[in-house]
Amino acid sequence: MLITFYVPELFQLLEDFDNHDFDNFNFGIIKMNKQGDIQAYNKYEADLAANDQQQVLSKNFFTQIAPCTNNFLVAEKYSNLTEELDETLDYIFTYRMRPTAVTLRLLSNSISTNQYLIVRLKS
Amino acid sequence: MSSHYEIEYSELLDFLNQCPIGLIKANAKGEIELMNGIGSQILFPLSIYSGVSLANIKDLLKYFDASIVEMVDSFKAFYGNICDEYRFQAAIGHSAHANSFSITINRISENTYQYTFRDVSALVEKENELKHLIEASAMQAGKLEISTGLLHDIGNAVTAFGTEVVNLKNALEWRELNDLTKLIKMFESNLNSLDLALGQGKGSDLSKFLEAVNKSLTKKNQRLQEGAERLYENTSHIQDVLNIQRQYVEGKAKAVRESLSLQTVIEDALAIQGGSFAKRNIKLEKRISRNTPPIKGDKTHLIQVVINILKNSIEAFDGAVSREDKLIEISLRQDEAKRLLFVEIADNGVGFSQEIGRGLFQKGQTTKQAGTGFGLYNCEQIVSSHHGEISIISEGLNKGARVMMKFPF
Repeated sequence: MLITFYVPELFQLLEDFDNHDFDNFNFGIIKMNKQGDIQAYNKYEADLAANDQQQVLSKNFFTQIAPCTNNFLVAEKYSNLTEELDETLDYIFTYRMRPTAVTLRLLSNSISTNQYLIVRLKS
Repeated sequence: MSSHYEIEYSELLDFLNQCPIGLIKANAKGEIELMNGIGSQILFPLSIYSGVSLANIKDLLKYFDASIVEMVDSFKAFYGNICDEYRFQAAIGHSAHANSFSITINRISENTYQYTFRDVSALVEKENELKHLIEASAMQAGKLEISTGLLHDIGNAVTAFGTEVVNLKNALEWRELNDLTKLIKMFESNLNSLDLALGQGKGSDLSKFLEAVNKSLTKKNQRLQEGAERLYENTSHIQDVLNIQRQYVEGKAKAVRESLSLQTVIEDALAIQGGSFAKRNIKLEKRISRNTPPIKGDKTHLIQVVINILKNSIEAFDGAVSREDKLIEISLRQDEAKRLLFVEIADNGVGFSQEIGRGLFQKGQTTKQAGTGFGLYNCEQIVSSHHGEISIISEGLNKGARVMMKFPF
């Protein structure tokens, strides 16, 4: 089965994968705990951001890695979640200070201890 | 493998990306070449809600405040500061309140502009709160000024009225009634001579007539005196109320207090109240420590306190069992270790029961028939405003009373 950025059941599919399998995906995957601390950071995203995959682990994604997402459009969507979060929006990331148009998919639910931010470069 | 310079460059970019202010490098047209994380965090929501692309900073800023772009375009020097901490507002979405931003723009070279900005909404909110506080404070000061003036004017009028009431009370002590009584007694003891001069029975009639006139006048005089007394009491009550209000208003308006000696306060109060001791045959014993340290305070108010307590002590003999050894003791001493000054005023007058003692500092509480209940309340307020304490004790009826005050120095 080909897993794409837009596949509807993406959250559950990602939950079933091991963290190192994320490197095989052709979009960025940031797996976090509910506090936003990074649990997994795949190769695609590491290459885009020029970040070391191992060095970003356990750091807070919204405040230490991508402060551009620390606002009500992204970070606040994950907090105080009462139901499932699955939202797609266009955004501007600042990879190596270069404004880069991306599409984000915000995934979370109230059952799992994990949450995901999925990143796709806008063509 | 990355070279040393590449690592440094990468670290520098990461450092700039994490800067806690928005940072943008743009060209003369406004096209964004570099932008850090906070820059996107702040501006992307503005871009979404304005519908203006974040590719060009000038286009975006023009949407919210065209004068910023005018400043940039009219800046002709090749480098320098275009604007410094310029503030603009931007409403995001359906929010009732616009967010406030501060922006600084520098021209780095002919085609390089540096934009730094931050969200100052919280700061602006605090500034507005402070502004409102200052305005409210100024309004309050204005009200206090009016109140002070008003209370002063009313106080003056009431004082003048009070003087007239005292004059009226004095004028109603009709000594002529004594003369009339003496005349009636004289007529009564000389009825025969009067009858002889005026005719049989006329002397007795005249005496009875004068007796009736005397009675009527005495009754009228008594009623007038009672009326004047009530007028005097009510006037005193009004003056007490005004004093409390003035003290409250002045206390708010005047925070600065002068250095003063409690010894002088006591001496001044005794000088004012001194006449009453001899008049009522009360012995005064003073134990005043010399050279006590000064305290910060309001001399007039503290004199008012001592006078009030002395007055209570003097009047304490009015209701007491008549005694020859009427005594009021006043003392001032200091406790160097506790840095406190103690003032005590004791009398061997009527005293009071324990139940009455509990409420004596409450407004309206009094042991005196003609008292308003404001005296000790007023004293307590003044002493408290000097960070002091006041208490009053009595061992019971006819066992005297002792007022104790302490002030920090």
